[in-house]
Amino acid sequence: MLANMLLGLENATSITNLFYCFVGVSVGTFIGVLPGIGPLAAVSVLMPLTFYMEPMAALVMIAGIYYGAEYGGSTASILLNLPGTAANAVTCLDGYPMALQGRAAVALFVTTIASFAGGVGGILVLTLFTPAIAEIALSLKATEYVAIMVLGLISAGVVTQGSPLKGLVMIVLGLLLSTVGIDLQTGASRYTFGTFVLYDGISVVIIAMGLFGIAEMIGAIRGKSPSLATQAVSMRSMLPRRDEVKLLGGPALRGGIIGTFVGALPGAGVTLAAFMAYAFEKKISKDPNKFGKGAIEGITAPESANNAAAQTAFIPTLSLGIPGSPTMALLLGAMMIHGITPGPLFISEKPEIFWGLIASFWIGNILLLILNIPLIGIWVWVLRVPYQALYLFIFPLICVGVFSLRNEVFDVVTVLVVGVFGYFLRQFKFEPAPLMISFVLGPMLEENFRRAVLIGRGEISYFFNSTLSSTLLILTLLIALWAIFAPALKRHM
Amino acid sequence: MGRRVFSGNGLGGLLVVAIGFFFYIYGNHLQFYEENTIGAGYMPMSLTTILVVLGMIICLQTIFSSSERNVFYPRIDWRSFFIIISALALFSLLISFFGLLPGVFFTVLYASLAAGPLRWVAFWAAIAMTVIIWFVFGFGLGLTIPMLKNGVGF
Repeated sequence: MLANMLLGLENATSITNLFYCFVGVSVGTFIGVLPGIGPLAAVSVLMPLTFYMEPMAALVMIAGIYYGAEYGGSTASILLNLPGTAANAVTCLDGYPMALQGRAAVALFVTTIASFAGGVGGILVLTLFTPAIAEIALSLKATEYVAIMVLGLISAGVVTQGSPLKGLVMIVLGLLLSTVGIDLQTGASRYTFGTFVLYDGISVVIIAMGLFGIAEMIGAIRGKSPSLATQAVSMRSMLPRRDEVKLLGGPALRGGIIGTFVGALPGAGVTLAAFMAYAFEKKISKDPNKFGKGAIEGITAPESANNAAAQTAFIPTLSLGIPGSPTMALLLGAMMIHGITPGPLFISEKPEIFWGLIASFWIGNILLLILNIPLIGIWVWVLRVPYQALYLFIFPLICVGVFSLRNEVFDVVTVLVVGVFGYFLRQFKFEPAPLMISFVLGPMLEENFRRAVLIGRGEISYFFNSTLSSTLLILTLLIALWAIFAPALKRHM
Repeated sequence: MGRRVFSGNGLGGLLVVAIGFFFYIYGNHLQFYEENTIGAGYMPMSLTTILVVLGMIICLQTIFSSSERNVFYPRIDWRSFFIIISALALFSLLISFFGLLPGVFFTVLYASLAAGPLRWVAFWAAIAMTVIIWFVFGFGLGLTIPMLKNGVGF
């Protein structure tokens, strides 16, 4: 393992990879700071550019954007009372009151340190467990793989904000869209409508740009501009009081543990981690009343949790090929476009990329510490850029990026169609994130399902042939039933 | 109660049902079973069925629910919606006939209308993005996208 880590470090410290790591975490912080653009939109807009890079550099950059955004996201929460990303929403509760009390600098400092602590904890767990899980995964049967995937998908749909039923709709829709193109097993063309441009299916980039670039943009353009809790942020003003420093260790540790665990569950995601950490901290506090009024524990725990979760989301992604979050789904998409097959064989077949990626997480987190403490002034300034001006720079990047995939006007039109449906679904409060996960998992699910049916000669009972798959499938069924009937039950109680 | 059809969940549920039917009709010809295993049509047909059922549940739950909770009426920003969507169409036309750089320039100017009347910032953004895109995609990545065309496709 040590030899592997050294190999990874060597790979990650090459000039190119260092450069893209820096670009990734800077872009991540940038878009994290800006409310209205999340890491998903940023990764999808920049994905076409990564196709021209080395696979390693591309993955390092995409990953950097992802965890960098969790650092930057707290800045907007504290200064604007608007979360930079969904996972920072809970940081508003105590971060903004702190800013109103003139203690924004302290809040920014504390969240960065908590983020770093959580991130480091997450990477350690990631390093220790991912190779082991991949090894176990190699011996999984097709039915067990199907069971894990179905459970991951259902929980990803149910866990989102809003109605679990709508989450399930988005999961099913994503699976359906993933069937577009030539079926590799039978050669049948599905939903190609007679045009050869759809033979390869719809690119993951197009889905992401339509749902998170275009649909989100339409909603945000004429949203109201927030007012900034402006105040000078100097290095000296950032340091917390001594009695506060004593309060930080516990929440950071507990938040980190919750985040590490929740992030590693396929589909659960960073937002849930942050909310759980906050709720837990409030519950065990001796004085729960101070929460919501600028309690320093109230920003420490969730920020530690969401960064830990951002790192451990890589565990199912890299060991099983099952995305731990929607952004991870895009990362898997990028891997496939670069010809790397995600799944349990990835670590043993491409150790230099896996260990290099992990080494780049260390480097990235240290860079983020520098970007977010001495250079915080830049990001506070970025907050002043109004979205009405910003989207003018993002929109052409989407257009050209999509077209550059394969110089195909049809792809731009596809983004248009996805954007139209995405916007309406969004206005009807269908959360688009689960669709991303199921769209990427779709082909793998169908392949394993088909294999399982073949081996089991079409018997349903074959899916219950092992304890693991039976347990997981029953669990899945229970969650699905709960999602459908919970609203009705609540009404009757 | 009939009004609830036009609520977010009512319309949303109907949209999901419509999408389900669309995919059902165009996937119906696919073979459901192959010898010994599932065919190309198995997944699409099962998924569209689930989609239609879920869409109906969402719609009916709202229409027949006795409480006003969860009933909301979406606000559609038609101006932004129309401008951004047609800007994509404009871009695909411009790039086909006039090449990448005019495509970017005029699309940015047009897209700026989504936020309100034409502003100076749109003009500067259009120039900046034309230069940036030429630099990144043409010069940096060396893409073979035609930068300029004369309008008849050369």
